Amino acid sequence: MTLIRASKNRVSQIACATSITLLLAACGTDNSPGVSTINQDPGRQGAVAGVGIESNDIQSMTDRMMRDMLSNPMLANAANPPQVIVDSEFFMNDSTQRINKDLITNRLRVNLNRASQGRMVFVGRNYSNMVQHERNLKRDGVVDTGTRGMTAAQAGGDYRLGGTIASADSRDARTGMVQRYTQITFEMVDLERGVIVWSGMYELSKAAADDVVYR
Amino acid sequence: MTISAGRISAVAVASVLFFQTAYAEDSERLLELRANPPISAEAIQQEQSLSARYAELQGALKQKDLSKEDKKALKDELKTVKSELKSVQKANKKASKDYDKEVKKLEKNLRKDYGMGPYPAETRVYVESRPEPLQPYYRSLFIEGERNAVLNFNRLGLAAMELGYLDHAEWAFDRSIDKIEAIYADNEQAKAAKSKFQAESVKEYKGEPYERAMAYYYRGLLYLARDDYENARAMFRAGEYQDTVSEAEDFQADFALLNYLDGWALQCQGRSGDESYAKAAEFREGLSAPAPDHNMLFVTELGAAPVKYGDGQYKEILKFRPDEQFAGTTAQPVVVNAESGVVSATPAAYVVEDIYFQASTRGGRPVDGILEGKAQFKETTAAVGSAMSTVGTVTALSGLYGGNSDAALVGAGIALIGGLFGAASEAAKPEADTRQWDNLPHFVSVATDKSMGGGYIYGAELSGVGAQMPEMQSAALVAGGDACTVVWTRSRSATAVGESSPGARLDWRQMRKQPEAVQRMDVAFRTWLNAETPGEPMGAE
Repeated sequence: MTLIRASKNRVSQIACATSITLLLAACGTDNSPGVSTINQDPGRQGAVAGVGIESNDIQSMTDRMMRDMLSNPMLANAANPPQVIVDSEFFMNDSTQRINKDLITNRLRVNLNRASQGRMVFVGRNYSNMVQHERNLKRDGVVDTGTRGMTAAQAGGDYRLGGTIASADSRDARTGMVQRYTQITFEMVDLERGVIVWSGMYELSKAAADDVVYR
Repeated sequence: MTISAGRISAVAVASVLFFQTAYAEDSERLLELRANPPISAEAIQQEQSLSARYAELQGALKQKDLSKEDKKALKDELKTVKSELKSVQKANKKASKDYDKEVKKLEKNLRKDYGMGPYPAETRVYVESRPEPLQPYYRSLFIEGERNAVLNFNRLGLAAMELGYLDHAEWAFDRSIDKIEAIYADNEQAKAAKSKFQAESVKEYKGEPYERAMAYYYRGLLYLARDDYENARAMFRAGEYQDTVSEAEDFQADFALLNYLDGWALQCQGRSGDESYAKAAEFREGLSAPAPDHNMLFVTELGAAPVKYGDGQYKEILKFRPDEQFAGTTAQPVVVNAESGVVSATPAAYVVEDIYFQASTRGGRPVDGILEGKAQFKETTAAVGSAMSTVGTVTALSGLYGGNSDAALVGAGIALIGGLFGAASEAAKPEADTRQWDNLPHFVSVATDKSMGGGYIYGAELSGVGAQMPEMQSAALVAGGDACTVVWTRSRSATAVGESSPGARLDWRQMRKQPEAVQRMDVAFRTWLNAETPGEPMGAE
């Protein structure tokens, strides 16, 4: 009887051990949950990532460009405040991310206008049709001349914003890490002589990895 | 008394239909209740007025110099007002209680069948506010939630593009691309997809690389139609980048169509597209760059999307086969004088892309290893379970017949463990995710020419095998501005598909068994969908 009980216990132990062993053997799979987005210093080499321009980037870049422009003597400390055009007409998107460039140029123009306090005068070139329409009404006598009188022509620009958004993408197919370096260049161009009177650049580099089920 | 099987079946079917109707009516009633408060504004106003009057009268009665008659009049009025106020408060309280009770009951009934939704009335309201031809796709989007959102945005976008609802198409593809570009790190559903006992298809769909690339392709075409060549180019380049996902693929970054369109977008900007055209030509012998003065692009799509299926013992290997039903293989764009009907131009076309080739040459996926592991687990536990069940049963039976109760018990124990292994094997889900974007084409051909101005209609002559292909098809989209025009034609309509991609939609039982967190996410998704309104239809009748 004792021998049978011992045998029974032994069988149970073997059965359990076998179960656990088999379960463990069947379970062994390495899962890769991915890597959350990390912001990187573009000056340092890092992992590869593929995230683009976000709203905080737009804020940072326009704030930085604005401060830089205001410290430029030709733009912000001239004897006669220069007339500048800041819009997206010549601001080119050459990157792999679709973007509404007006988000960048509008924020830049608005903050610059507020901060410059008259040291720079902004020409609303995109409103020129609207202005011309009103000028015509005044000259045709349909409306009066307003309170500021009339001028010979609309304001011309002394300087205009140009620039480029460019990016370089890379991917490590083995680890799934993706990386995007984005470079945004801003330049103010003299509209008479064609010289670049101010340049600014904003760079960002981001890296991330999707979960392995998406690779 | 015997009851025939037929009669039982009839009763069962009638019961199902009755309860389905009942649930649909329940959801309409719930919607009606939610739109109307339990107590009307007038009833609330009446209660407030009576309450104010009551307070006034009480205050008035406290005055010291009141005459006996005045006091009596006030007391009488107070009594009347008090009685009326009590009556109104009681009625309002009852109405509110009845309302809550009915709402709770309806919600309980609806949850039994639909979980956290969407309920039929919610779906009806959402879908009714969309353009009629797009309603089936919007219905799928609303019902299937986040899990199939990218898939449904893609199908909707393509159908909308063909039907002329360009704003809807742009919105849909933008939302799709937002999700494709989102990084799913530490995502619960992705984690679940890797577990032994959940299928890969529980994850939120993003699509295989060829599907993601095609989302960018269509968005790029829409930007071309709007003369936004910069963003069009961004899309074509980003789409080509999607083709670099697979390490195992022999043909990475060979999406010649997107390289070609990148060059075209540059040409429309007045820049040189030579480098991009050359890159496309590396992969497509005989493909030549457009002439510098060409400003019309003819894009013709042929055939039907690659079909995904699961192969292997447990369908754990994702494979593709071409759809032979719609086998258009060549397209000849034609420009026809609208007045005379004479064909004025037939620009030379080139089949620049084979979507089935892109799908089937991806090489292995990292998740294939996980699915293989799941399949091995399923096979191993099945084998172990079967063996242990057999051994245990034999041991138990021989113990029973031999009068050896200890052996019988041991045998039963082993058989039980074997049963557990068997159950684990049954529960394991190694099937590959075969959800697919089913209104994609098989081939894409391109041609270019110089614009001849207005007064022309555009289409394509089609040829190939397959009974379901028309000989001539009108262009679905002709758009552009001063710089360039795009003419987009399809041999097979993007609407020649069901409301939902085959096999993609979960049934209601599966949907209500999803984790509560997932259902809540879908509730939030539907709330967001209700608030998002694509722009007015452009160019659609």
